[in-house]
Amino acid sequence: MKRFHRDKRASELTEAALTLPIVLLVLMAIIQFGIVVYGSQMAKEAARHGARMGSVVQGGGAAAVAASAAYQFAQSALPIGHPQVQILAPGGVVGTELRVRVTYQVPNLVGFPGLPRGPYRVFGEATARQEGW
Amino acid sequence: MFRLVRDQRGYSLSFWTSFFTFLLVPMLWMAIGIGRYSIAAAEVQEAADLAALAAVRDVNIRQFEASGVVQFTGAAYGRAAAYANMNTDYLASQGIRVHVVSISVDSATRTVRVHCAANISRLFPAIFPEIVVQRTGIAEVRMRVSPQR
Repeated sequence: MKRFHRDKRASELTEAALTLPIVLLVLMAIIQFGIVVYGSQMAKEAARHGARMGSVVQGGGAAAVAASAAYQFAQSALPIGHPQVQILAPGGVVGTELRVRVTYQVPNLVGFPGLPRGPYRVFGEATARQEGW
Repeated sequence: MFRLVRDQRGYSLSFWTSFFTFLLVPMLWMAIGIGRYSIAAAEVQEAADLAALAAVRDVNIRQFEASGVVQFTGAAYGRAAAYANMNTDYLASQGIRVHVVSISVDSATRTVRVHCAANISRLFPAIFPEIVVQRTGIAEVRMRVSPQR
């Protein structure tokens, strides 16, 4: 047993075997954090895009245009986030508010025991004033 | 003293301690700080853009039709401020308000500029001086004079 303790052969391999899982976990957590922040920003950007597109629609259908534009933007920005679009205020009448919310379910890449499970829910909202001329 | 300098025991430990304390942690902290600043600045820009688009509808139409000069009604400032703060989720969650500093009109190009500012000092430690983000939103006035007038 004493000889085993004093033996330094393969000690680097053993150290690497111990530290590598931790390094990988930290790396995955950084990537996960990046995706969540990106998702949050893209949700906001999609909501803003949808609200803006809807706010310039003339003659009705502002909410539908806003929802469609926001969904398309959100889908192209982060397809793995399964975007959902809600119209919180429909606009339509000149001067009224058109409020859009885009929600992403960002997949959880770090499935380590003790850490949060399930997807992370991030959302963004934007309000535009209905235009008319 | 020379023996202490030449002694290499514990070298790795002191190296990594210094590395973490003076390089890695400050760099991590700086990366987070830059990220927060960028998000705040983007949000102020977005607020200014949507505030300008909201304010641009509050043009005094009678005045415009009579003289061709673009001027705002009294509601424009309040409307711009309201829309600016409706579009700041992150800043609002941190208790930070976006202020409309000024609204200016360029009659020649028929554009409205809404200048917004937010004091984001509370996102950072108190050792920093006051950090104010200022952004300008631009929108074009879209109106036509009635042909019968």
